[in-house]
Amino acid sequence: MIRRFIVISGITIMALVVAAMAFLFNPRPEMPAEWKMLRLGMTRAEVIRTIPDTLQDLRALKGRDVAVRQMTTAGGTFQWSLDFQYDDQERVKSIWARRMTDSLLGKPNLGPIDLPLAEVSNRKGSSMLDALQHLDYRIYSLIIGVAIAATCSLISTFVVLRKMALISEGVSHAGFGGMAVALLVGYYIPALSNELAVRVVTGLFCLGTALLIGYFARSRRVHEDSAIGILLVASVALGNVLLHFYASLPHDRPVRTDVERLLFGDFASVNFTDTVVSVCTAAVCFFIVGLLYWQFLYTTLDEEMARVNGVNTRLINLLLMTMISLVIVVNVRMVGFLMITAMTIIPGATANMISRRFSGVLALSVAVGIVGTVGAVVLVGNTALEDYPSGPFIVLALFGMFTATWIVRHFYKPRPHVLSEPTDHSH
Amino acid sequence: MVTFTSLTPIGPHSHVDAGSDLALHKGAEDVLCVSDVSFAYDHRVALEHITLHVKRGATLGIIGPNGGGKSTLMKIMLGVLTPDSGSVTVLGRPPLEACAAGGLVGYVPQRHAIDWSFPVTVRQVVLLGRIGRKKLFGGFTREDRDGVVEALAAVDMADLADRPIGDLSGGQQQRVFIARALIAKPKILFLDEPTTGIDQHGQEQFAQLLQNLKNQFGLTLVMVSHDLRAVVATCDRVACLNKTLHYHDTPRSLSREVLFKVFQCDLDAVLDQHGPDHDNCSCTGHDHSHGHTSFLAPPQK
Repeated sequence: MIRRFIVISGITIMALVVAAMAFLFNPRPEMPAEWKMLRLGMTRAEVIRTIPDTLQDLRALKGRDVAVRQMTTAGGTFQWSLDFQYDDQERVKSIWARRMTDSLLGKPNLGPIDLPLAEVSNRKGSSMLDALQHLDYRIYSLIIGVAIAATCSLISTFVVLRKMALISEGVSHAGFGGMAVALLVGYYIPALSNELAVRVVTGLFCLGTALLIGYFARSRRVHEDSAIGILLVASVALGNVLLHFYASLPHDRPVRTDVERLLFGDFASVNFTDTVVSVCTAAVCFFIVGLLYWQFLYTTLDEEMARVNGVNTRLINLLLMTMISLVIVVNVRMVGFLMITAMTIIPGATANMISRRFSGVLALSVAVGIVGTVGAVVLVGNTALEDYPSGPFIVLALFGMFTATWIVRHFYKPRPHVLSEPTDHSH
Repeated sequence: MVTFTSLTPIGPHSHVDAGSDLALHKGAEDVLCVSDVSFAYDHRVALEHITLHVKRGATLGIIGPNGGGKSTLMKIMLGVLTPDSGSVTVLGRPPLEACAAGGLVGYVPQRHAIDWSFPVTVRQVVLLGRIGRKKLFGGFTREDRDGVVEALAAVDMADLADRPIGDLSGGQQQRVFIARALIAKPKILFLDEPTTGIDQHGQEQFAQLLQNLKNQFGLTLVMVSHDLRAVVATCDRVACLNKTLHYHDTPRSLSREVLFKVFQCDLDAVLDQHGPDHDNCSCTGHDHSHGHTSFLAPPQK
């Protein structure tokens, strides 16, 4: 039942987010301000005096009088057209405002102007995709924030309960080195210079590091924490050196290697593609965990027993490492290589202080992550902090929630300790 | 922790009666066959030439000092480790296959193997014992959940089904492990140090519980322990292991000399150190003779 709940809730969340993109957060693009002064019943002369646009007299041809205006906003360049129809007394009996874009020329968004409440409603259909691709970046940030938080928080439950926090740290730092390697590979092999190829190479680097850590841990020659420390620092050093080298190479156009943004994230650079990829990644991770919920639970609780009882623990471990690598690669540009680790640790650690059931820890972890991330994104996107990297604010918000939870648990609700026989927890 | 000096080089089983029933393969009657198994961790020999066969319905106790290879042998029998040489069959199948099949093998691990602060209830832990029978993408059935009720009732834990496992005592935790092993209705049950960290009263209850379950479900039991008293009291066959088998037969035939060879300590020191409240043997090898214990065979001349 819990498995079904997770799958359904995950899909529902993602569907709601996408729907929200189209309907709830679809901005009503502002038409030219002067058009709001128009009123039904005006004469043509009064219309001409009210708006500076030239009326294209198409009354004889199409029964309409048309004015056209081109506007450029943060969301893109749009063409607005204003259609008038007159009654027998040559007075305006209806006014329609249409918004068209270059990519969808000839396919207008139709809607009446209900003066003086000058709003234009976008109809469904071909205009939806255009609307989705030209939203304000803060809306993308909000949606991506929810998707990133949900995914990282889901994974953080397993990271915390399996005591893999250092592994997560190592993999995320490996991503920094991986990205540098990917950029260089793309430089020398142009076919691999696109964004998808860079992300794939980075992801493979992260996954390879995770598998290497596991190999070191099993080999007994190197302790796991030593392996993590070595690979972590070596990856950062490699990334730094390679990025400098990459920047020194001749390029067709100037390239930016803003290390601060790579390490701490930049929500302002997100776009429609980033949003879709993040949402799809979240849906995939929820789907996998939902389908293999009991296998993940058992492997997390007791890997050896899970294996004895027939669970393919190697597959589960590989899936977990792959999800960690995927989440890092997909979302690191928004949160940063240094900060994304915290998103895979703090929500799970916070939830583990509250709930004593695995499903409860999962759900609370996702809730904590979303609340903290959305709060930070809204704060950064709508205040004078807009130029600050977003990752640190997210981490600080999550840390604040963790600290508050610890204080409450410590002072107001000690963990129950009910036993019917003498306790013996010697290990 | 006992520091072992090298034993005088001896062939495998030289102190063992080669005709003992554990040394002979009985064919279909055997549920566990370990044939000349050897294993090393990175060139450190853990097991050498281990051969033993366990009949259906038997209760075998494997004893030995810390580092003697008991848990390694257990892991090999469960398929967690692959021997460097030799073979193991459980109910006629390779160990991994027998475990994956479900309904054949049950395993009660050491209590320290699990994180008791993990947010999971008793019911969920026991239910996980049926995961081998569950379809990969399917859920647990009504039959599985009814099995949880039966298994918890068998170990007298039914009223604690929804309690977080971290709230349980040592004895209760052990019962939960047994219930998890039983829910798959195994034919053979492996127990790894089942009495570690449990008080005397708990151990007595545990021994009685094992006997009841064995009679009720027709189980074959293989128990690894360093608790000599518990093994001798519970098992009808004993195997003494310290990298190689030094003995495998009835507890009645177990002698002081064999115990000295295995534990590198005198019997009384072994009994003192390996009583219910001591996990580690720290004997240094000097004589602590204080008398003779009735279950031991007389010293060989």
